[in-house]
Amino acid sequence: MAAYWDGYGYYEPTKPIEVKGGIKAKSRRGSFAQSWWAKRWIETLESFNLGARLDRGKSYARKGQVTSIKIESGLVRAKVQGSDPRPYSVTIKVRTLTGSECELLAEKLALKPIFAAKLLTGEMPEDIDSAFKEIGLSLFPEKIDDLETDCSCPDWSNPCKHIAAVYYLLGEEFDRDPFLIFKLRGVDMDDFMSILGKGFVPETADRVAEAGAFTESPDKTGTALEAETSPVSPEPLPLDPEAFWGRLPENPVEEKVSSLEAHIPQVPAALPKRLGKFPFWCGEEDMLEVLEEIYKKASSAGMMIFLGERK
Amino acid sequence: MIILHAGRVGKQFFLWGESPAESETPVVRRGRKPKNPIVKPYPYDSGVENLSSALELLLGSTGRKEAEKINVWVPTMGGNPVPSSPLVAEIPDSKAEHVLAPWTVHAYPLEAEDAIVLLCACMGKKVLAPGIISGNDLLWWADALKFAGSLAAGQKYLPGVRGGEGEYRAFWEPVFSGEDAGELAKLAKQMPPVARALAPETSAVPPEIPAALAARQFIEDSLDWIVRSEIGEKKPAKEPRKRKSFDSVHDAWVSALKSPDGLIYGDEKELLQLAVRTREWQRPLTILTTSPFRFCFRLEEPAAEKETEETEAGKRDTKKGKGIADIEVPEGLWYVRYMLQSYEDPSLLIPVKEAWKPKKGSPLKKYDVKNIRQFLLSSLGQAAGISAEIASSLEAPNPSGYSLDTKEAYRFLTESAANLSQAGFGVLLPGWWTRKGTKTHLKAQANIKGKKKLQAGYGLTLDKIVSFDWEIALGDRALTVRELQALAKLKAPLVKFRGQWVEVNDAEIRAALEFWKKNPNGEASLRDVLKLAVGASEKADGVDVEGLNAAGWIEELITRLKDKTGFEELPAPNGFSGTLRPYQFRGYSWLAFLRQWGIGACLADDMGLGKTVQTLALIQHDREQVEAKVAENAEENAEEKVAEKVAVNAEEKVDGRKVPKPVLLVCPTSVINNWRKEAARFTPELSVMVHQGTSRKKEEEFKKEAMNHAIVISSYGLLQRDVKFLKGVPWSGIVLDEAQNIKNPETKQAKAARALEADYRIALTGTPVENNVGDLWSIMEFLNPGFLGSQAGFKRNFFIPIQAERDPEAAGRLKDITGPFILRRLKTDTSIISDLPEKMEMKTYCTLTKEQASLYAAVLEDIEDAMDEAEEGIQRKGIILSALTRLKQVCNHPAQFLKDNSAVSGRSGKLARLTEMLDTVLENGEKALVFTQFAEMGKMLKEHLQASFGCEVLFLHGGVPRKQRDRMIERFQEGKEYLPIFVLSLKAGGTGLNLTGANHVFHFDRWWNPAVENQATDRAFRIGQTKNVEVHKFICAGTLEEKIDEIIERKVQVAENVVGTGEDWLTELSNDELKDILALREEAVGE
Repeated sequence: MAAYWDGYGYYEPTKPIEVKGGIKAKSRRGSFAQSWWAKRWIETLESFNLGARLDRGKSYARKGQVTSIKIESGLVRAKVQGSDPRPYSVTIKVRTLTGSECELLAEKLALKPIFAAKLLTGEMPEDIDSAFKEIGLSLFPEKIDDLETDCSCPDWSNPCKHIAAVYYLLGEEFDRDPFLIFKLRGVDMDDFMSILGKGFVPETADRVAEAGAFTESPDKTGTALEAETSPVSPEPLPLDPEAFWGRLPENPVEEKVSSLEAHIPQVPAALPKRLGKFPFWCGEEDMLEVLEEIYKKASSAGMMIFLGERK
Repeated sequence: MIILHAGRVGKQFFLWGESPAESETPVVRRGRKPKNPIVKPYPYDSGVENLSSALELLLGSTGRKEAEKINVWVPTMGGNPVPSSPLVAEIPDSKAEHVLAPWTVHAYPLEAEDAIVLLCACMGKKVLAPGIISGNDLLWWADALKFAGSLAAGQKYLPGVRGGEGEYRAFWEPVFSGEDAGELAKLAKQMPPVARALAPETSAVPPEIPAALAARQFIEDSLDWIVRSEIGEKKPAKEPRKRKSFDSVHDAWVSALKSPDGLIYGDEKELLQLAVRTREWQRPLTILTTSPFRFCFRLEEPAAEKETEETEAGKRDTKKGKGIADIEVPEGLWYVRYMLQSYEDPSLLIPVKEAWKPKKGSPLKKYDVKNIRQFLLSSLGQAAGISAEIASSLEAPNPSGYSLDTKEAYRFLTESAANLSQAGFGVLLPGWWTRKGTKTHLKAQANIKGKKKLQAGYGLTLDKIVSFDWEIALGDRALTVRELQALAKLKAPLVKFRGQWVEVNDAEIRAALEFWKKNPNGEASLRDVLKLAVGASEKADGVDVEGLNAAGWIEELITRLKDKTGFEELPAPNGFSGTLRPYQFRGYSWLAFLRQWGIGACLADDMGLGKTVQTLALIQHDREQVEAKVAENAEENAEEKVAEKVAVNAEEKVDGRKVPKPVLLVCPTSVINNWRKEAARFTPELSVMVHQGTSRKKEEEFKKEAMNHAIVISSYGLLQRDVKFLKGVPWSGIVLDEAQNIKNPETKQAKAARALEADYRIALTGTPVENNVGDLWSIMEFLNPGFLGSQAGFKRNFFIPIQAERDPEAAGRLKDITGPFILRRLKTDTSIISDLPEKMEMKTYCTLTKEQASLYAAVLEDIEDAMDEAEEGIQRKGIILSALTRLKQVCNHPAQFLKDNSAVSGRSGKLARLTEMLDTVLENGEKALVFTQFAEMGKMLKEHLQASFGCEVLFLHGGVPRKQRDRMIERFQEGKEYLPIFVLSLKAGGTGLNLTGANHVFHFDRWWNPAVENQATDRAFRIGQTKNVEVHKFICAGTLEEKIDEIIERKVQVAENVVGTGEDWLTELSNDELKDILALREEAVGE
């Protein structure tokens, strides 16, 4: 880190350049983070007694001065817009778990399915740290030395307000997806799940997976919500005229009643709600609020069409 | 006639049509070769004009894009394409090889909005309008749209991003989970291949898009459109939209989700990242939606045990005055078991206990164990967020369920179950738990005291005030206040009452106690009490007001209403002539019973069972009752007795005399004459007035005239037009024949019907009215206003639950409520079948249209002139015989007479009536034979009926070769297709034709030779026939058809000549006698 110090002492930088479309913190005032684990994460930061820089960090996060955050194994990289036209680069390094540590951890967790179950739904089980402790580790950084932070800004203190801003936003992201903490600690979710799975299964188990069931299909762009492991194979038109025109034996009295049903749910937008906050949401409006309105309106339109009442 | 088809080329929806070819043989085109010499025009292409008029009829004439030419790839044999149905052209019966060949058709590209309106109009409807028929593919697209609608209603979709290579769009994407995936697969399997056989005009190879993909794309596009259409900007931008700059790509996305084209504007890198992040966000659902199983929670009640200890303690408590007899609080534990339920076979349930480590032979063996575990853990994790007990169960490895006590079980039933269910889990609850809680629960009951005897006679109406007191009951056991309080003290939400689980919640008990304090006794009208009795009541002060404890006559009344038995079976009225069958006595007595109480009745007997006759009996009976009362009153008044004022307003003063009020009978025009005839036959004492035609009476004149008659017959059209002065008449009763004419409550005629006042109301219909939920409200509202609640309330409480949610409880409740007011018997009912002759012969009197009437008059004039001039002998005989034929043709249809191949609909009373009656036959899934002596009429009938009902109509006439004839008969009798109508010319075929598949026989015109007619009828009525056969003989009232029929019936001697069979004897009559027979009487015209 370049220390900025000139003979006149430390300067408080002037107002930062405004950013449009930066990552906006969800929290408007008060504390960041709502879940206990995100709060723990933030506690660590706040234990460093940074005073004013913490507040500046908070306001930076709320104003959207952080323009990008990338979370990788053992490393967080971010860009924060300060008073300099060029945004500052922030890095946060964390020690990752070794392979054997991972396995040990998985074994511990396997004993209580609640751990894995909660993780899969985006929640950090309360006593998960105890599992870490049993193998001599901790999920969260305990002291300042557990982290290595760096920022290209002129402020010599570490962590500076830019690092603080990133730290706060990370807290909000951990709120949404606790796996990110694991990811940061070097635990890949897919690997982890397979290790967890391993914990239950005797070595000789058969591993034949049925095509199309319980599997995911990789998809590059777009969002495929259903696994279609078979490629799209062409289906030629039939030559038999009856099959072609789809003539069915029609008994009008029987065939009239279709088995389709339509229900308008009482809790709107249940699916998006289940999925939770969108990763690094920068939009002006709250996504779930917008969606709730939309879903409610669309429901009645859908019901009308189902009943064939569209004129 | 046009059969509409539809399909997509890319994202564009096209509508095209098939019609019978103009010329008989395929046209060989000469002259300039078309641009693409390989692709020929489809010989059955409806063409732009026909399509355009069909579209105008269905969608209105708003601006549309021009029609285009596209290719349809159709199985072709020998150079000729095979059309979709015999309605278009004969389908060659060859087994030769077919090839796929392209044919051009004219098609209209439809915008999404138009396509959707069209498909909504088509849903489940084979015939969209006379002559416009939905092809199977069109019906299928409507089904697919319906599915998209249900997905939108059920909110089973997520916002997404699609694209690549620089262009990204926001998209609303359906989530096909479990059952929906199954539905999608089923839909794909049902897709008629023709729906995906469209291609651009320039295509050289047939399209091969798989049905699953085509179906899915359409559903996705439709869903996206449905959501967007509700939330987006309504007007498309006039100029190309200026690229709004957004603060962030997420804002751009949200805006694109609402915009018409969905394009997301932004930096390419950011867009790509957005796409990736979106997928990341959606991931947790992927696990659950791709699984073939659903995670379920099953609540199991405690095993029955430890009975003795309970009851001992219970007994002790009861003795001390503390406990309540019959109520026990079982001590055992309940269990919530985790299960996996297969979507494909919902009866397959696997306890999760076994799923952690599937054993050999388990159906789970074929899946990757790692995936199963992830699925189980993921599901449990979600459920743990909903229910703390589930979370606790996860503290131990391999969780499989958890135990709970009664309080916790109650909480599960009332809270967790709904939450889990809404989150997508399956919840299996014990059978005794319904949506409203346990089947038995606390309710308020009205205890009505009434005198023992049911007072017969008039004056007792539903407005009578009845007093009662309330009691709180559990099941059928009334509770005292003390017992209620003891129940509250138990603090057990679920108790067993006489072996049945009953829900007892604090709030309900408190409400019950409050209710009791406030309403120790009450008063209500008999009408409200009735509503209570059939279940059409609502909650009062938070307590379910359910059921009645009625004693005495009120109980009797209610039982009679519900069971439709026990009421007095009346003898035929004095002035009634003719005989009633036993079931008709019951029907008419039921009508009288309801009439007595002023309750509207719907007689929905099957066609042919005699609704007309039963109604006439009722009208006669009612009138006789009124006249008797009038006489009684006159006597009493003479004695100056101040007795109970009876027969309130049963009569009115007209010209200073007291006259009984008339009955208004509304029916379709085609049936007016039938009613007139039937009334004359069965109730000759009742004077009938027919209100129709331009010369009909109006206003005050009408009222005066009406009051002088017993029955006033009019049509639905006039009901609506003349309602102003119809309202002014004090009707004793209103009868609506073919009441489905008011099934839409918004129509003018429905509103007019409701606007009239009368002492009693009757609706007649042959269609299964209780099966058509949508029609029910309107008819019930006419019969008993207010009974089914408001229209909006009905939609909310019954229509949507039954039609959309398939809620059997709502369906059952509706049945209970409407039961007392609808009497429907089928020809096949065991209680009736013995009353019915195996062959029922009925005459149906039809009317003539104005055109027919003027043609008839013209022909008559001609004949009369000719007769006057002719000499005796062969010449005269010839004139008479030809006259008979011509008049018969006029009575059949003007086009048959004029031989001008002109339009068919709306010009013949007989044809209108036949179409109406066949409609009922088809609705009931039955089959009919139609006989005519004219081959040209047969052809006309075939084409008209095909266009009206959208199905193939067989036509057998003398010119049909034997092999073809046999094939027709085989198809009619045994074919798997539903061929409901067979038209035959009387001369066709000999004996030995077996057509017992039909149980209705129509004689469109008469041969006047009973032997010949019976022989024809007996094609259906012979050994092998399992149903009762109805024979309908059509007669145009007021014409020669009626006169000749009368003569033959009465076997009257005309002059010295004996009436013979056939028509020769007519030639023996004198001119004057003939003129009398042939004359056209006023009542013939129906318009």
